[in-house]
Amino acid sequence: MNSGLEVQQIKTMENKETNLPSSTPEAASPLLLDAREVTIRFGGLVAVNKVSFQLHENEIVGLIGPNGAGKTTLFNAISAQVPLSEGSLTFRGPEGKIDLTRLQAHDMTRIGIARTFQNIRIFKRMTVLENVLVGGHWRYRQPAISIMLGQRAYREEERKRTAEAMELLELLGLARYAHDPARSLPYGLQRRLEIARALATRPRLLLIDEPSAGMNDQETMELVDFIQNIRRQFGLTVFLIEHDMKFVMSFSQRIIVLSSGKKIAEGTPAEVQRHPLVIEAYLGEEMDYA
Amino acid sequence: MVKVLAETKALKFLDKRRKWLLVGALLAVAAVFPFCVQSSYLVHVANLALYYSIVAVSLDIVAGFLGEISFGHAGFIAVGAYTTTILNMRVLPDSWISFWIALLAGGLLAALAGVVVGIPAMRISGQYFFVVTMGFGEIIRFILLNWQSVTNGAFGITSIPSPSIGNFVFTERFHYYYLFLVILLLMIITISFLRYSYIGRAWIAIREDELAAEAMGIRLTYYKVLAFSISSFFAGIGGGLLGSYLNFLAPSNFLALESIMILVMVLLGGSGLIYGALFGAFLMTGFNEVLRPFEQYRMLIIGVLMMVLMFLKPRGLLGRE
Amino acid sequence: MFIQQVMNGLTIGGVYALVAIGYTLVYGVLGMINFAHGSIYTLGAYFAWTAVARLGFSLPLAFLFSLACSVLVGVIVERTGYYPLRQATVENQIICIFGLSIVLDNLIMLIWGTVPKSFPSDIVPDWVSVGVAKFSPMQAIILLLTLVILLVLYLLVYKTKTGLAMRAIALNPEAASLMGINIGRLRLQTFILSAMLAAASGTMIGAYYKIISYNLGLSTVIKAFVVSILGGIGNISGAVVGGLVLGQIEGLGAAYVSTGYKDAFAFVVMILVLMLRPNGLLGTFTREKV
Ligand SMILES: Nc1ncnc2c1ncn2[C@@H]1O[C@H](COP(=O)(O)OP(=O)(O)OP(=O)(O)O)[C@@H](O)[C@H]1O
Ligand SMILES: [Mg+2]
Repeated sequence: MNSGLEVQQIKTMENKETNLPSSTPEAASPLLLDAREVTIRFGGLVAVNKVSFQLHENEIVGLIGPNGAGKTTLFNAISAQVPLSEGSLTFRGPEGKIDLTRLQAHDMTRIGIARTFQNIRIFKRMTVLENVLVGGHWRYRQPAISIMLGQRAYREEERKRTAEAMELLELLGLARYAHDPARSLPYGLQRRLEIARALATRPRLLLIDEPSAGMNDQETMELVDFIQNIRRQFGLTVFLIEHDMKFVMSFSQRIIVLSSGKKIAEGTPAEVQRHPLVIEAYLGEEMDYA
Repeated sequence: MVKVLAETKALKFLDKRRKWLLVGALLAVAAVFPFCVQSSYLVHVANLALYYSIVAVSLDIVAGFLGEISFGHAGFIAVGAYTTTILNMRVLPDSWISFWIALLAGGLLAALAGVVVGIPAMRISGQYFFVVTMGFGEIIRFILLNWQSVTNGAFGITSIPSPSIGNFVFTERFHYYYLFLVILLLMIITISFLRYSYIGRAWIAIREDELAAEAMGIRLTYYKVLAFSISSFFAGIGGGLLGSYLNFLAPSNFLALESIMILVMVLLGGSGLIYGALFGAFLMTGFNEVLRPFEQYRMLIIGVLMMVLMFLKPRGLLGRE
Repeated sequence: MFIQQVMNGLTIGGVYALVAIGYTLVYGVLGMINFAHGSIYTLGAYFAWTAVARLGFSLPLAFLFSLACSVLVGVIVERTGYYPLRQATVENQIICIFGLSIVLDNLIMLIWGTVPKSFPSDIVPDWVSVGVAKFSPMQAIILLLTLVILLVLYLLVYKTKTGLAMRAIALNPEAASLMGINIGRLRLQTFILSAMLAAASGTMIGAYYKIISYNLGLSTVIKAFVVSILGGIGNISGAVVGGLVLGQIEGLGAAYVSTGYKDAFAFVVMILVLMLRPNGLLGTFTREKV
């Protein structure tokens, strides 16, 4: 199988990058995303209020907070789907630092950021395979005219991408649905497909918005394994929004807590769990992690 | 060509062998049709059906793949028709090649019009897209009506010469039949290639979910405008052919109602399928002819048909679900 | 000359405003593009014509007759073309409603014929001279009537419970239905109101130009689009502004630029507005939430 090759490719890319001077010498692995005083307003509503944090390579970081805390909005800002009102977002791309606020949403896959959505947004009337192929969209090089004339160069390119996509589906256990319409998948697999589609962009940072929403404990635990596996296999940084505390505590290395747009705590699961502000923010919520 | 057509996944609801059989049978029938029917009238109807297939399939790129309702397709056809005809008759030298150059130019100018309309049209939200396209179609018609020195206004352009290749002149109806058929097939192949490429997938992704498409690295404006311009290009080619076939062009060929009819063809057969638009074009053209004795009631019946169709088969006759 | 043009524009613009309000109300409450509006308008004009020319009614009586008939038309049209498709996709709605308007136009043609009908020329004197200025009683009547209708409409929408429900639904359909508003009935009421506005405008314009034909519908509904886009979709005061603006542009454009393009001005203006101010002259911009 070629999947090992794929992982290897990503690894070598990383090795090259670790030679670059790191902007945070104290961190174990190099800085990937640097958010400073990020503020997002919708009219009078401050959805995200001066939030600063950093993500490092190969980390898995949880983002938690009560409903309406601004978690999704923060994701939208990182993926340039909502403009920043103030603050800065810097990403260490393949060719050095990138100011994310200057980019548009469609530039994100090119620099290595991919995301999923809180309410699954797969392309329902496309096949599972086609969904994943869309993830590879940005890597196509052949122009429209080459396609229209049916030129070999394009057919070659298409064949290669399709093989890669099939491999990815294989890896994620979706291969046997490859030619089914995406909407025919059961809910849990639709989530998985959405992650597969994001992975097909070959991201370095994967943003996952509430993957366990609408799932039972059993499915959630499977999902934990799944996400940890792909993170290891693809050498990703995962930034993950979660509502289910038990779930997020179980595998995050670090957790950032938002409440009413403000960052109220950050640290290891154990630290965050004891933090008085977090307990206060979650008072009345189930606290079933305790 | 049979092979390429059979391989396009446009007919993938059939298994591979039956797909081959169907496509082969259809092509065989199409190839001998003019010789089997002895009536010149039927060949004429077939020509109209082929012309409508060309423009309906071209509209399917925007209406089906991209999922934007365009009510201005007749405008792009008109741009192609008038450009081809005027260039051929008045500008280019008197040679058989001129028509083909003019035809290509007509397609390209229509594509340019597609870009010009596409960019502002894309900036507005889906629901009002069709108003802008309808507005564009009507503006084109007003220009054709009023720019008399070039277009001869409402009287239109008459005595449009027949195209030729070398010494062969397309004079008979069945000559045009084969011309239209070849161009339609070439266009279907090209569009199928596009549909099953990253470009086609980008269009469908945009149709399904713009926000997710954007997050997957698809430049919305670029792909929308691309769809619009390719669709208009083929519409323009269709227009250029229509002018030479009818020997006559007038703004009244390109009423808003014509745009709507073409859209109905696409939706009737099932949008986004290519063969749906094809089917719709043939069905609608046949329907029009059958209803000719009841001319007064024709539009009434078409209107009722549109309503009933939306109740019973919202995804078109060949569309699923 | 100029003053006269402005007066013409004001008269026509006022009626356009009424047409557009009818159109925009349906869009706001039913959430559907009211393609059949132009056909109902034409039908209104034909009812008035029948009352005057065939039944020998006076003009005010004919006006009321047309309004009464339009109630019936509104009920039939809403229940056949709009209500059954309230859950369908926008494409389906547009095609169905468009089919419905083709049916209406052709029924008009079958009933009244293709030859345009003219109102008797003696219903209202054409011109009355006051000093140097000429003055048209018909224009005065239409202006006055338009004002009265606008006033009634204002009271209806802003001072009655039904009006409140309409506005609530236009703002947020789900919340409104939760609040116990009977949506089905409200939709019908709105549609009837819209049909009455269409019939009133059709009658006024018919009596003003003294000639009507069966195919007025399309150009009328296009004007309604344009005006409601100018004013911001679903915005009543915007529609008044938009109607007056379009009336002036058409009147002055026809007088000083070219009559050949009279009907094209509407589109040019609309496209310019959409490019420069996508949500209308008074509107504000919003984007889909992620
Ligand atoms: N596009 C928008 N326009 C206006 N307000 C918005 C927009 N997006 C989010 N908001 C508001 O910003 C606040 C934060 O919303 P956000 O979706 O980021 O919360 P969240 O933390 O993801 O909550 P949940 O756990 O419910 O998903 C909410 O009050 C929301 O209504
Ligand atoms: Mg959220």
